[in-house]
Amino acid sequence: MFVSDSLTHRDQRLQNRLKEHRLARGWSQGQLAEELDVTRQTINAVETDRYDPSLPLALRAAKLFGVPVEALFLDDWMPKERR
Amino acid sequence: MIMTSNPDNPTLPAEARWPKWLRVTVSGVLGGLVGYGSVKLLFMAMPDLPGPPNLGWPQIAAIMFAAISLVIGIIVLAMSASRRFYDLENASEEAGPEEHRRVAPGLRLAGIAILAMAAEFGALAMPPERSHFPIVFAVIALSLLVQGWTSWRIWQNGDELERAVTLEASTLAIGLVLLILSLWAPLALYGFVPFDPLAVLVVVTLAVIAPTIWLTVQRGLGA
Repeated sequence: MFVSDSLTHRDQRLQNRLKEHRLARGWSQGQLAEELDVTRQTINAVETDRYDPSLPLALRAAKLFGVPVEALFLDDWMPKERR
Repeated sequence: MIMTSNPDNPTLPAEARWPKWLRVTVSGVLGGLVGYGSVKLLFMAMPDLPGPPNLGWPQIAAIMFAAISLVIGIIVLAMSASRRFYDLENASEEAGPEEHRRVAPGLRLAGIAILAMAAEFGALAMPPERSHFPIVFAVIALSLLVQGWTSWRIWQNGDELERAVTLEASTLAIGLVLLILSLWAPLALYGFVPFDPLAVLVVVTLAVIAPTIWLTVQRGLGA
């Protein structure tokens, strides 16, 4: 449900679980922004699906939370041969 | 205004139910009506006041542009002075001192750039007399230098979202400017619109600013 909604949302932005992971650590948006060396606006924009982060930022976030990047950013795209 | 409590953090101001663009539009229309009404009343109360000079629409637009830029520039500079002014829509917390330290310089630079644009359009709106030329040219050259420097500093200090918005806005702006100039050229050649550099500059500047504002709001960068 979470994943299947993603491609019908806005202009096909990724769904993400950044907020869930952030809250699980008890961090504020400002603290996460500090950890990832971006502004709070960027964290807020990602969490509210207004902006898809760059690959380096997505990888940094995944490393920070100790999860694979695909556990943080969700996408239901599949290669043609597997559909 | 219809307000609701903020579910994420009750200490935050309540969220407005009207979307931001509607609130801004309503405020703008109300401000325009109040301004128009005030001037009308002033002329009714003091009929001997000299009327406005006979200006073409490009000059009137340039004066309005300069006045609006002046007000917005001052507001943005004031916003950079305190973090209370740039809490985010849908944010789950208030801006902290660290964020203020990070965001304030960019806001300050943007405010300076907007004020420089106000000076540029104010100079361009002056009556084109030869004796004014050195001052007008000096103001415009200085303003362009300031705008160039601030843009560079904003790019250098920006994080990836700010840079992405800048790039997206630039791409949209190039398309819009080419579209406008491509339509303006034939219309001007056949005398349907003025072939006036000031008119072109005003319209092109609006075409550059509009996508920047739109994308800034879309990507959640607006305060």
